[in-house]
Order: sequence, then structure tokens, then C-alpha cells
Amino acid sequence: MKKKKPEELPLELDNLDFSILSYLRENSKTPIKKMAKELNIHPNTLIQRIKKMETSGVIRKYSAAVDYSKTGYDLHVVIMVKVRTRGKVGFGELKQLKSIKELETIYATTGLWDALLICRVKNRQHLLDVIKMIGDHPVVLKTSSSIILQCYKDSAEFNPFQHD
Amino acid sequence: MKLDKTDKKILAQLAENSKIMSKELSRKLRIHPNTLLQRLKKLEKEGAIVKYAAVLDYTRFDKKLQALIFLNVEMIKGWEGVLRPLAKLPEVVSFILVTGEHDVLIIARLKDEAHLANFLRRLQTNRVVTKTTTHLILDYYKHPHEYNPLKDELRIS
Repeated sequence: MKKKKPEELPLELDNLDFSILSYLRENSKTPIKKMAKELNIHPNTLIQRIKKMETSGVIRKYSAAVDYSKTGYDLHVVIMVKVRTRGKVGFGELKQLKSIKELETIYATTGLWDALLICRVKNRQHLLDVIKMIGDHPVVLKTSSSIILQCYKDSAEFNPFQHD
Repeated sequence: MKLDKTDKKILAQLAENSKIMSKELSRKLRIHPNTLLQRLKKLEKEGAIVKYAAVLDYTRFDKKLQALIFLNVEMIKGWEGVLRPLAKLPEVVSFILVTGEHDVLIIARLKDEAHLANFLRRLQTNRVVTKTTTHLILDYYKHPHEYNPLKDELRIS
């Protein structure tokens, strides 16, 4: 029998784990001692819990959330894609779009369109280049873009455990 | 805000891994620790670094259903104030105003169909929301946490 990878094993998380995750979503730079005090637990317990969630893959990584609009990527765009499905060619081929570095998100969806892409580009010319790149791909039948005018909430702000 | 190559390198590295020790980072980027510290302070102060956060695997929790929901909004006087609280709902991953056929795109994470129905009802009862269009997300090929354009721009391994 194939041995299960650690991340496939079911993991039981309790409310303390959720509080820790919620905390780390907001700030992962706080020293353990201070964090333990704020959560009202022993530092050793905290270290142990965090380790458990890191090794099991619940915590994927620690990352600085970058505001890319401040790094010259001024345009934020949603691109809906209609996929050409014939024979063996299907949704999975969308994976190849991953190599386009401007793409932030690639989701396969139900509905009139087959995929939703979100990209960040520097300017209109850059957007045109990206749309051409996507359109040139053999699985892409057509695209429709809309400019993001404002962002009320970004995925970096998503923290569902804050409310649990 | 003007960012030079060094700033971008720092951002690219920290987006990959923010737990890296500053000593290691300064060695990797071949800059003096003091310069790094100064740059970091600048990037944080100017808001290029929004925060340092753990990236979680949400498929491991009971929030397995992901949906795209487009809203059409009646832009009567004061619509923004009426609409904005919806972005605060805990199910909302992102909430963006877009051009085109629809006015808002919401990406949401939910427990199941009942939860989705409940969530939709909350959106639909909002005074300025005139229509919702929902699509389910079947699969994903790239998540925002895999996105790091500066890294590719600078070709850091």
C-alpha cells in the first residue's frame, strides 16, 4: 500500500490552533514570547502547535504581503477565458498559463466562461502583451477583460478564523 | 515611491520567505546588513510591504467550496457606503470593483452549498445590489501566494 504523505493525513485542529492561525495571518513577525503572552498560553505549547501546523502543511509558508501597485504594476485586470475543449484537450491545459508571470490567479470555473484569470501589469501596452500571450495559447478560444477599478478586500486580507 | 533594483530584490525574497534571517538575506543579496535594515524600514513605512503573514492551505479546513460571485450594483447616491460592509463578511477572500457587464467580483470561500445559499441571500438583501451571478470554482492552477512578479523580473533563483 502506498504510504500517505503527511499532508494527506487528517488533522484535528482545535480553537487554540485557529487563534494561532488567525494571529499569524495578521502578523507572523511577533516574537514567540510576546505572542504566547497575548494568546495566554505557554511559549512551549505555542511552538509545538506552530510546528505541528507547519509540518502538516496547514501553514504553507511565511510571506511578506507586497503592495505591487507600489512597485510599478499599476493595472490590475480580470480576464475571463473561454477554453477550446476537443478530444484530449481540456481544462487541465490551462495549467500551462501558469508560466505567464503576470498572472496572479488562475481558476477554472463553471458558467459561460471557463476560467478566471487575474493579472497585474505595468501599463496598457503591457496588458496588450499579456492578452496576446494568453490568446496565442492553443486552448484559449476567446478572452474578455475588465479593469479592476478598486479593491475593497484583497486575498492577503482574508482571515476567516478571526470570526470563528 | 521610487524603488530600485535592490528594493525589488528584497521584496521578491521576502514574498517567497519572510522568515529568512536578515543576516542570511543580506549575504544572499550582497548588501550590508545596515543597508538592508534601512531599506526594510523604508519599504514598510511606504507601504510596499503591507504585512508579514502566514500563508495557509484553506483546503484543509471545512471551507472547501470556492465561488465567484458577480454583483450588479445600482449606483444611487451613497452606494459605496452601502456596498462596502459586504467586503467585511468573513467568507470574502477578495472583493473588487470591475469594469464591464458586472460591477463587482467577489471570490468567496464557503463550507457547502447551504452556506453558499446563505451567503448569497446576505448579498441579495443589500440595498444597492440588483443582481448576483454565481460561478463555482472547479479547480485552480495558480494562487495569489504563488505570484511573485519581481522574482521573475530579477531572475532570482
